[in-house]
Amino acid sequence: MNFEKHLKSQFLVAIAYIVIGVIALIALVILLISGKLNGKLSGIIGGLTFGFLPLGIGLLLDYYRVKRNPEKWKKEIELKNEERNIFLRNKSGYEAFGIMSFLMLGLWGVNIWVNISSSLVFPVLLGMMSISYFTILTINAKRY
Amino acid sequence: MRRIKIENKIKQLREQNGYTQQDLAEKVTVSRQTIISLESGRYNPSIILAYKIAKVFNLAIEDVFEFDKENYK
Repeated sequence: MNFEKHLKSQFLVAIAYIVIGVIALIALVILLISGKLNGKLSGIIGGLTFGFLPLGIGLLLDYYRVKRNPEKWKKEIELKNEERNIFLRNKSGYEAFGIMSFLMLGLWGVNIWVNISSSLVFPVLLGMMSISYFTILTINAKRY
Repeated sequence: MRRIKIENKIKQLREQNGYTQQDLAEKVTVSRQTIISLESGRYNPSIILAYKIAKVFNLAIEDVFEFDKENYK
């Protein structure tokens, strides 16, 4: 991968995220002061602020870290694209997908008798997806 | 599905040539963990990695990796 090109694109993405985050933060403050902030709006603007701003700052900090030590970055990229790691990620991904399919089927079954709120199901599924993926990844890393 | 195990002589050849696992890993641009997995037979390499490893020892792939024909029945 072209190092300069990667750095430039990472910098631009970081700045874009920060700009979106700052605009959302300003909007949030303005709405808060004017007293026009309602539940739905605060969720959307709050999500944009606290999603984009920390991510942008994180990317910018990573940009400076990579810029200071390009050799370390090249090593990291090599390891990330190493065939065993790709194999582990792919295998863990489809195994986690299988587990999630069973879980969703189970929830759908439960939903016939008990009404489950979608606002509860989605965060639980999202959490379970990450947990199952990283658990399987750890098991596969020991297995292979 | 049964996993096909490919026997290999990586550890033997590596020790004969005086390489550490880290040395071999750097020569074929993989992590030391991959070399450990290969030597223990837990992971089967791609044809490209197998070729790179064989090249390090100046051998052909089939001199380093042994395919058990029984597994292919």
